[in-house]
Amino acid sequence: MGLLGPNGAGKTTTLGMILGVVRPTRGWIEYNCPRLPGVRYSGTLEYPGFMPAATVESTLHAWARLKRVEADEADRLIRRMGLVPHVKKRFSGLSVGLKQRVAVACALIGSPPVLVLDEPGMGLDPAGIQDLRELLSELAHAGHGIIVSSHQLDEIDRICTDIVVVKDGVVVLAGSTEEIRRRGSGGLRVEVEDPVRATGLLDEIPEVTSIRREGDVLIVTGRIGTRDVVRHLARHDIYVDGIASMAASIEEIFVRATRDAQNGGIV
Amino acid sequence: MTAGVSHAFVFEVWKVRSGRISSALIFGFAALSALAYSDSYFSSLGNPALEAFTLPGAWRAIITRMGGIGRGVSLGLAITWACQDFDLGVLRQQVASGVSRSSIVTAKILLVPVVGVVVLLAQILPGAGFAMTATLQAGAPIRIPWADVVAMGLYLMELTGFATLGFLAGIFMRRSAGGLVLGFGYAYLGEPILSLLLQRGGWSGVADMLPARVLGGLVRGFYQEGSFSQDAGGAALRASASEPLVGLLVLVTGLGVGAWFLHGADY
Repeated sequence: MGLLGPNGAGKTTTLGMILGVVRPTRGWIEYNCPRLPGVRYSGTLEYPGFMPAATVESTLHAWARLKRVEADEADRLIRRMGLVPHVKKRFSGLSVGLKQRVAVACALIGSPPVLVLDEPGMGLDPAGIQDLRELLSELAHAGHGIIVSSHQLDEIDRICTDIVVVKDGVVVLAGSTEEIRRRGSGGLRVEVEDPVRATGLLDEIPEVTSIRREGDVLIVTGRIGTRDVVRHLARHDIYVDGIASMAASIEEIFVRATRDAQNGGIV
Repeated sequence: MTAGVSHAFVFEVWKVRSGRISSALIFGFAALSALAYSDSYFSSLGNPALEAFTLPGAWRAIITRMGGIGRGVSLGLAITWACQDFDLGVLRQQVASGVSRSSIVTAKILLVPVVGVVVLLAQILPGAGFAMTATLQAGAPIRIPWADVVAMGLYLMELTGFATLGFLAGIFMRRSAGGLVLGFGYAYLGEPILSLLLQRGGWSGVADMLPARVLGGLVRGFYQEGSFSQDAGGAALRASASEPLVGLLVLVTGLGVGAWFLHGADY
């Protein structure tokens, strides 16, 4: 699940409450995962906090001991996260991206049912982001629930099955990625020879909510499919040169949702 | 101690060992103690007019000579140790990793007396080393009178008490600089002023219960009761039992307040 929102929306606070770092002032958190002994949620919040003078290896081994798992698991995660060349380096000497990898590795120790990651891609290079994406997909397929917040909306789009958008501590949009994309569709892009006449004809269809003209191209929105548009225009001898559904990107949906929320509406 | 607490405790020890400032403070204090006691040892060697730095007579000097600095080191060490968790975000990371707050808080409380023990050893070991050397050179047996063992126990209580004050200052302020100002400001400036004001206002009983005053005077009060290197220690021990009890009460209350505060805080 991807948690999105502008700066100051309450993403980190929400994740902090899930992880138990921040006490809720009211309300409670319900989770739908087996009540396993030991670690239920594990994750990392914004800036990873580790002992600066400790090496990567000793850090992960210490964390493994803390979480009562064998050191082998820490070694396995060191390999999985590509940290082998850096095991003897002190944490303070690592790049932001490597620190982030250490944080994710630590969160994964103990194989928590639900993994909570706040901006896990922050500071990672493209290869690191790809690795992280693959890792998260693997974990999701292995049955882990993953909650991730990020400003990299294209990453969220690629890896998340569900999205929640928050603004000022309020959920303004929630649902599966597919459903949200369908709801937030950008309309149909219709190319016709006679856009003026086509506009008038399309306006007659009750399902059409808006028609915008951009040169010879019409942008049609509403609960209407490409086939309906082509049929309706053909019935009136207007032939469609091209028609395409304009799927809204997550970025567009996000911007729209947060803007609507600012204007008082909740999607 | 549950497994979770013991693992959290080992992790706390690892953090202290990984912290450069903590290590520097301990080794610095041990070096200073060695310097001070070596001075006592070499001075007495070269000057027959001075009392020999031999056991058991030297125990009192070993326990009391560095007392003022020892209490300060204990205070400072606890402050830096408590604050590094917030400065570096390690505590936040621990909780985010799924470790229970109760385990972490209990481990922290258990580590406070360990700070006292470490400072005690850093002071006593160099002093005892020089005194034992002098004793063996003089051909005398090495022995430690019961009263000096009690004095050492009281000194440990003093050090643990000051570590508790440092722990409280650290978790309240959360930043090393602020914690050091609050901890040292209270123990060495605020409380003496408060004590004076209370005494002038006729509240001497309350002034006598102030934590730094109670904790800072345990060993001094104990030795002032009589000659404890003699066998008369038992009677004087009974006479001075109330002060250690008050000290213990202050210490337990301080740790209880610290545990309650830390358990309910946001990280």
